[in-house]
Amino acid sequence: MKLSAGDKFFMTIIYALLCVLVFVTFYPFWNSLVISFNTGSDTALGGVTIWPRDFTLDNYKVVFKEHNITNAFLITVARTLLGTFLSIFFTSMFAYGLSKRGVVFKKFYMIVCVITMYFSGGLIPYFILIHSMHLYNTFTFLVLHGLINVFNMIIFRTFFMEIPQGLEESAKMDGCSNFGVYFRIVLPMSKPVLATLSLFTAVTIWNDWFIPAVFLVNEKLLPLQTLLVQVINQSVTSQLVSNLNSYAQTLIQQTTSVKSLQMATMMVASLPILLVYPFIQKYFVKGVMVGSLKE
Amino acid sequence: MKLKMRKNLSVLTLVAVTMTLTLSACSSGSSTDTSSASPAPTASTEASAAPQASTGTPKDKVKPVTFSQYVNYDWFTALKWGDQPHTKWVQDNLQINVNPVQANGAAANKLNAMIVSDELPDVIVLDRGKDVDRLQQAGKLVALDPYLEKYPEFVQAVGEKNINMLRSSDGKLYQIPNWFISGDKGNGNAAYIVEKKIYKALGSPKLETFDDLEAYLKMVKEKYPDVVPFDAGEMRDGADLQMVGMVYSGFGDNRTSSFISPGAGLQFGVPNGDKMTSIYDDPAFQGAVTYVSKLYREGLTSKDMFTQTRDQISEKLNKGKIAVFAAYDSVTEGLGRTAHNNLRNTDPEDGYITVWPFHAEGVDKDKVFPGGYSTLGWNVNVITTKAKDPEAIFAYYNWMVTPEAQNLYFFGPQGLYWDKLEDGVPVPNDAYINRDPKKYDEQHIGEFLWAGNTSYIDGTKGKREQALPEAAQDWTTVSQATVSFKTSLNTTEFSNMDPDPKSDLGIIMQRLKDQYKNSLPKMIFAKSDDEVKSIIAQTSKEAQDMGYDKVLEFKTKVWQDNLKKLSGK
Amino acid sequence: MNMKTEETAQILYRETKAKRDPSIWRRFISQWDFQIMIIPSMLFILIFSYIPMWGVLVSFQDYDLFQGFWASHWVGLKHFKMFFESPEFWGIMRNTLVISFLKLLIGFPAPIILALMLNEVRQMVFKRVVQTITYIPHFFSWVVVSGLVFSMLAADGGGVNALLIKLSIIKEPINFLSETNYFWGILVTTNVWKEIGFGSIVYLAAIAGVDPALYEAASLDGASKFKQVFLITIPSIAPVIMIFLIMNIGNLLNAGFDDVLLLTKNLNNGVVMPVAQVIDTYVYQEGIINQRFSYATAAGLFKSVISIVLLVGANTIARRLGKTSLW
Repeated sequence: MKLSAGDKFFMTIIYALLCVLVFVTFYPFWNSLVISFNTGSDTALGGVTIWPRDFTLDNYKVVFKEHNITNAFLITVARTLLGTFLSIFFTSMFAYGLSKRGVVFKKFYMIVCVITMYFSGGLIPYFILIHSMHLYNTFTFLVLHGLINVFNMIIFRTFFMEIPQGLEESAKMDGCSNFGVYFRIVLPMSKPVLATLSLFTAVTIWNDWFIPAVFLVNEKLLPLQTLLVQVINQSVTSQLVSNLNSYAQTLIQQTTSVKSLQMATMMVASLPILLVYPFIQKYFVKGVMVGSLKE
Repeated sequence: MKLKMRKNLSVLTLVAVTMTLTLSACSSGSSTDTSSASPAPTASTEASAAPQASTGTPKDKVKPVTFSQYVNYDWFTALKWGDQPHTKWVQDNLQINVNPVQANGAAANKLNAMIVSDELPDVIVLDRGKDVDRLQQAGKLVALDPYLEKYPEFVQAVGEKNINMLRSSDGKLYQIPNWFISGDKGNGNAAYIVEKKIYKALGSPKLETFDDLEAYLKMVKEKYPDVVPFDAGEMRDGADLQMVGMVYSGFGDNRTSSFISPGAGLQFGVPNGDKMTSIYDDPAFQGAVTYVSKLYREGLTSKDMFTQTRDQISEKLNKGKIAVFAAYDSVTEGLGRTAHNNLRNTDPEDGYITVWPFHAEGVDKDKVFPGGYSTLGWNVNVITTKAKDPEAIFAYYNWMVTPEAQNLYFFGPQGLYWDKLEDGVPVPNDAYINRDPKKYDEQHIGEFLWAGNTSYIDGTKGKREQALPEAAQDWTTVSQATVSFKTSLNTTEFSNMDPDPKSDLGIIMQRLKDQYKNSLPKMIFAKSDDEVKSIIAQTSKEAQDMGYDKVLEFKTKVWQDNLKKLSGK
Repeated sequence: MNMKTEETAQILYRETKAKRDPSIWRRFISQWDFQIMIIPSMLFILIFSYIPMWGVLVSFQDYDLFQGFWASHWVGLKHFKMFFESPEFWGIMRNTLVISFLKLLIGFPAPIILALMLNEVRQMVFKRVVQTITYIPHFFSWVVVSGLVFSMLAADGGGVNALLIKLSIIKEPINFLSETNYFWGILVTTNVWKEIGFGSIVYLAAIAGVDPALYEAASLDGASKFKQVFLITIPSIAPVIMIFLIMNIGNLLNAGFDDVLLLTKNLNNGVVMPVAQVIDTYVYQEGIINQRFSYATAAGLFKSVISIVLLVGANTIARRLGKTSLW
């Protein structure tokens, strides 16, 4: 395909802008990585940019020496895999049901769902419910929390509604049941959406530290992010804490913790999930709808 | 002969145990414990006729107990009990176990959740004020009065005055203070520190008054254009600007920085005569703000006063890029000492000097108090009704405030970093003097000490430092002893001045806070002294319109009540 | 507004009719498989989202955490009145709407534009690299991002000021963080930076579904790449864009929380607070810090009601214009 002059100019602009964007997004990440491999005391002097000045693995050692770190990692992986799978499985099926024309009570269902996106009882009533269901301080709760995501459901539904009816009809004529159509035709076609929303869900679950912080007491059930909050907190030395008078203490904030350690924990927390995307990129391939029946 | 003695002894023990059991069954507090439950009866155990009489040393009175403890701060995570040398000692020798419940960064929500599901821990460590009040009003706390007679060491260590101040609105005592001060020696870490190399290069001029300071800063700006002449600590909760707070203390007699701060637990009112008055009407406030504004205009201060983070400040300090630094905690390990040691490593003649606080003309230099302390200490421990054995927990705390326990928690168990006591002060042994600071920090000595006895520790620490060779002496301790402890005002009488945030006064207070946050920068950034004056006047009027007077009335009443409590009701 | 009530009435009529009309139930049974796909999830939502809904009613009480729901006093609209009459109300509403609107105006198209640009890139390696790197900032917590912002925008030696002075654009450093004028810009820019990469993923997925044959046909007809984007790509992903747009409009009052909280140093940067305080940070300040639980819930409920109104409005407009609708 020969490119015109206009096209070439267009492409140059695009490449230029993308390069700027890459630099602007990459540099802070690289800088954080460098700082995580730099000693805390040296980092406090400032000026560490593209290479560690005082290289050390100490920050990572602190993180990995933490009692529960492997446990927390396993919990997080389990929670993310199980939670994502179940959430996507049920939510997409839910959306498919709601995408069919003529489904009884559909409008009612939709309205009920959308309302939950805006109205919520808040943390305390939810907590009371979970507690009364004896799900407090359990792994089951970690998986069940947020299982059906209305936002995702709407996205799935929109996507499903765009699939040409002819496709499904021809499958049914071949003797497929509705479930069969869903599992054998619709889902495989929906790989981009499935991949995207699985990634979104997985990232959200992976990053969640708040819910486990409030709903769990059992240290062995803590996921990675919540544990890392503890790691950073513990770096506030007890001498500092014990020496505070009634005054100076009202202000000890997390900024007293060492920046290098913060960066190391951030790396440990985000790298695993960050690396998932490149592997699922292939599902975003063009022309996924090839071979479909044209309307 | 021996047999007869043994028989007598066992009969005596039996009588003692029976009597104590019978007597404790009549007590109003716990129903199951006996005070002489220690395995070997000590010589001083007697079956006394008076109920709840104190018997034995505090350590003897300690019972084995396991309890859960929750520390209500976002930024705090407890370590594992038994992992540190001192907690292991307590575990092995006293059979006491503490199970931490972690806030994990979501303290307020966690506390609410625990309240609502009735899953409160046995002990909560938290700030005095609204949370303690609401727990107490809901009947969730155990009153400690029944134990005070039986465990008098606690009252002796804390002091009657403090106990009176700590009583709740129903007159009962629920709070065990942490880092309380029982003498009249205050503590504080607020000071001005001056960069040594620059100071010497400029001829070591006199630095006593604010005029001296201004002249010095101008010299610094001329000769060292990339050094910040005057900088201060990061902005604190409630928009407490440390530069203004520190300077304020020097513009009037007996002023301390907490008077002008709207932060939680602080005053936001200036005591004048017997009333708390508006800060905007205080000439010291006006003077301080005008002075800082002038310095800002002349480029003698950091421009990022309101927004810089602690990391940024510490970076500048560590590189010696601040000529004069003021903060509420400038002499602590985190700021001043690290910077001082860093500079000294590269040049032994460099470092930071702690100087006596600056004062304005006409102000008595011995009445300048940048720092403040409350004898009530930092925060408190409360025992909740969930605790199965509150008395045992209290017995543990009773022991914790004794010198023996304080030594253990703060300096480590005997034989580790100290072998003997001299005048009650642990003498550092070679292991301590030659310690690897990192390994020492990793042992987290000092952790789990939630009933710190400030007077004892500060005094002992000071004496311990003197026992060390001069090179190993701690810059912080020296600075504290020479300057910051001496320039810290006792603000105990000004405690508890925050109106309940849910009340009408509380709502006004929040608005006053918002107003302060917004007007202070305007005052500092004003283009002329007159503009500063007019902004202050305007803010004062608006504050009055919002109801500042009513809030001040409330604060005045609290102040007067406190004075009565402190003078012994 | 009239039409909305009419519609609601129709829905109610139809549903009540269903209860009495046997043919509806016959249809229900015949659709058993679709209903089975739906019902478990609906139950989940009813249990975990609707049972706790009573929390919303707390705004009509003087809720006491210790006494619980049934024992707390009912006070009607007291808290709502207090909120509307508070001097902070108009400022908060203005900030919320302006910040949301700016985020929508700039933050909504940004990921779309990125996706469109990436779609044009033929170099697979470059494309993958760009995709993977640009979505990294999404994983930075706001704690870290705000720290970066503070250090870059500092007046004393901050990176941005240093650069601007070097390029002779300004002579004196600008105190970005201590002036109200810059706050909104800083907030929106950091949000875009943080989310542009991750947000583009959805659109890339949608673009992946466009039939390549359409592009071939267009270029045979002589359309430039630039034109193709406008004539083919954008219209093809229009339904996705519409849905997201509708939801974003419904989200208009969610102007932000973590970002505002941290960029104002936990609400302590008094200089910018008048332009920074939004509904969510106000609810946090009043509910958690000041423990005015019921008051904060009232403010939150107010926000929810307005959001739903906006959502229904946007959806109705979209429905009149095209075929897309949320229900």
